[in-house]
Formats: sequence, structure tokens, C-alpha cells
Amino acid sequence: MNRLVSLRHLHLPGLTPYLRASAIQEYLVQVQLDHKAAEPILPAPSPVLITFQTTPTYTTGRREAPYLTVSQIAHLRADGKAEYHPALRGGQTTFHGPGQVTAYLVLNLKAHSLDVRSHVKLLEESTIGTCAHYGLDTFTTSNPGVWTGPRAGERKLASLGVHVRKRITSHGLGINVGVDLEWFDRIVMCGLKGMRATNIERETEARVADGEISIRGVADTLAGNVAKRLAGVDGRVENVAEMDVWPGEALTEERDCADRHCTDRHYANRNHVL
Amino acid sequence: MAAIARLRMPLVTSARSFSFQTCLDVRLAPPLQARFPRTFPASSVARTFRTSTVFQEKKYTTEHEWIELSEDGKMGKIGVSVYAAKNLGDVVFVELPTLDMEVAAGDSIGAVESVKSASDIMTPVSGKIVGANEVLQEKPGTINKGPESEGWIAKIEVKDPEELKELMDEDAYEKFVAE
Repeated sequence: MNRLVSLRHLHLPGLTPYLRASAIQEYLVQVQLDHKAAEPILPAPSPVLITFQTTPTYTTGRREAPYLTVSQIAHLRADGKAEYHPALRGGQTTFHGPGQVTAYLVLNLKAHSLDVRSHVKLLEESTIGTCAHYGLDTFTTSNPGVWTGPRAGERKLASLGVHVRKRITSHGLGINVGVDLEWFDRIVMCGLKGMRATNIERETEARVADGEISIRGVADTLAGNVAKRLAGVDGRVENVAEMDVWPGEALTEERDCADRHCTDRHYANRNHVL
Repeated sequence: MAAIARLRMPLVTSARSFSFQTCLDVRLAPPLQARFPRTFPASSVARTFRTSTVFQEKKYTTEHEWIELSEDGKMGKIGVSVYAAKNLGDVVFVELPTLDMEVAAGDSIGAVESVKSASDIMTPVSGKIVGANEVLQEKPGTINKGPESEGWIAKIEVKDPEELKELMDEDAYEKFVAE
């Protein structure tokens, strides 16, 4: 009988450049893929949840990225105040930034008796469970994401988008905690015209500034919610540090890349090489 | 005989899928004439029976893609299995492969996107991408309707037909899915 593993939770403190978080995620995906390819006798890598706040970044999903015009990309860059990166996930344009818990869940679907759809459901339910912890009533609709408020006038609290390669998942969700909602007003969120975004602060009395709610707190609550819903793990969360799950040296190039705001073409190419 | 062959040209697709069935029937050994008494004349059965010596049956990967070789064994059609399509749910977008791209077995050649997730499509064998099913650009839902027929994704010029031997036949794939 296999010993059950715990869900590993890597929380990156402070603000993390988007490409840095991407690089960590890509590395963890590769670890899973390498393990699959080798059919090794070693136990499978544990599932990892990465949570972080990134510097302001707009991302597109796989559907839109190839069709974005130069002026649209320029708009998303907001005079240099935000970065733009195409992502391999499903879903459409969204924003990640300070005040949002962005979460990537890297796991092997088969190891947890999941398929693509039940994985998305797990993310949705974990998000709803996390919001309930803060006294918020949230739900899913026929539109992607997690919503709150009155039906027909619902506001979007969290976005979802997943990528699956050889049944290894990546990307995940973004829960708006105290994020400046003006960032969302600049885009047609997830392709949904007229839909409004919201955040936990606006929907509850809790304030990040008063310490009633914290990014770390939301991240930990989310990790707990994922762990208890995930089959094949013991329901516990094992908090890990960056150095426990990946060799940071390999990052230098990406770091430079993020610093120089390198071209998206470079990033896209790098993705395709993977 | 040549004239008959020419007349049958528009039936190439159905003749091919028929030859696939014929292969199965031969393996399971029911009498062919009893199985298809009227629909196909004897000469047609004889013809497909003859080509079935080079015809290779549909093969599947553990990642739920299928590949079916053309009768000359040089060209392969790739798609996702019925099982995979069911698990994905409604397909809203298909990222088609780039033509003339040289790929190795297991490389990602595109993606199938359902409402919130994008799943990569891997090529089962090495070769050069020579075709993409443009229908999927306009009607991605075609994948849900016929993942193993009109919802095919790519055509590949197969580099080494030996690679297909590594893949699962229909029976093995069914067992794999049931696991």
C-alpha cells in the first residue's frame, strides 16, 4: 500500500514577477512529465500548489493570444504599468496583480482519479470553500469563474484557467482579495461584456490593511480546501519553500527576461520549445 | 476492373472505413459475405481484403490520441479518442498544428480547449505535419460529434511506420481506458 502524500503548498511572499512564477511552474510540470516518461519505481512527485501575488500582468488564454493586435497588446501594457504575457491555459483575457492570490496547481490527473472536467470542478469548489471561510456566498454560473452577489447582477470574484499536457495540469485560478478593480475595467473580462469584477474586501467588512484578511491567509485557506478535496492525498498541507521544490539557479535567464520586459515572441517561442 | 475502380473513387472514405471493419472481421473470422450481404458487392470485399495486407488498423496512445494510416502506410490521420472527447466536454476552440512542422513522437502539435481548460494534443508518431482539419476552426464542436471521424485534427507524413507498433490497438486501448 502506498503511503499517502500531502499537498505541497509553495507560497511566494511579496510580489513575484509573472515570468518567475511561470518558470517555477514549468519546472514542476517538467518534474511530473519526466517521472511519467521514465516509468520509474520511485514514488510519483507530490502535487504542488503555488500561490503568489504578481506584479500587474495581463494574460491571454490559448484562444486569443494568436489574434491579438499590436494596439491591443499596447493597451494591455498600460503605458508600461503592466506586463502582457500569453499563457497556454484555457480561458480568455484576465488580470493578475497585487491584491490577488494567483494559484497554480501542478499535479498528475491520473494520480488523483481526476479528469479535465472534475479538475476544474475541484478548483471551483475549493475557491467557493475559501470564500465561504470569509463569510462570502459564491457560486458558479454558465460563465467561467466564481461569482458573488445577486443572480443576474453577479460580480466576478475569481477567474479560472487550466492547461493540461499529458494529463499533467498547470495554471489554475486567481482570487481577488483586495486587488484594484480598475485593472479589470480596462478589459472585456474573460470575453464577457458588461460583467463586473469584485474582490473579497469590497464584498465583506474584512480589510487587508487592518490585518483581518491577508494574502497569506487566503492562500493557506485555499490550500486547505484543495487538500481536503483531492483524492490520493492525506488531506494535509505541507508548506514548502522555493528551495525545497526547485533549483533556483536555472532562473537567471527568466529573471533577466522579466527585468527587460523581453518580447512576447521570445516568451512564446520558449514555451513552444518546451 | 479499372473502370470499376474509377467509379468508386468518390467512395474512398467509406471504402477505407469498411476495410477497417473487414480487418476486424477477418481477425474475428465471421464469414464476410454473411456480414455484408448486400451493401457491398463481392468484388469490393475482395478488393479491400487484398489491400488489408498493407492496411494498418487504428492505433491509440496512452494520452488518448488515435492515428490511422493511409493504405500505402505513408500518411497518418491524427485525432483524439471518443473517451478523451467525452472527458473534455464541449470543445470551444482547437489550436491546429502548423503545416510543414517536423515533429517527434510525443511532441505537442496543438490543443483542444473546453470551457476552462486547454489540453495539448500530442502526435503519436514522428514525421511532418501536412494537413490540419480547417473545419475545426469554424466548428470546434465537430470534435464532440465525431472525434474519431470528421473531427480528426491533423495529417502527418509518417517518418517511420515501425513507431506504430509501440501503440495500442483498439482492444488494448479499451482495456487501458477501463483500468
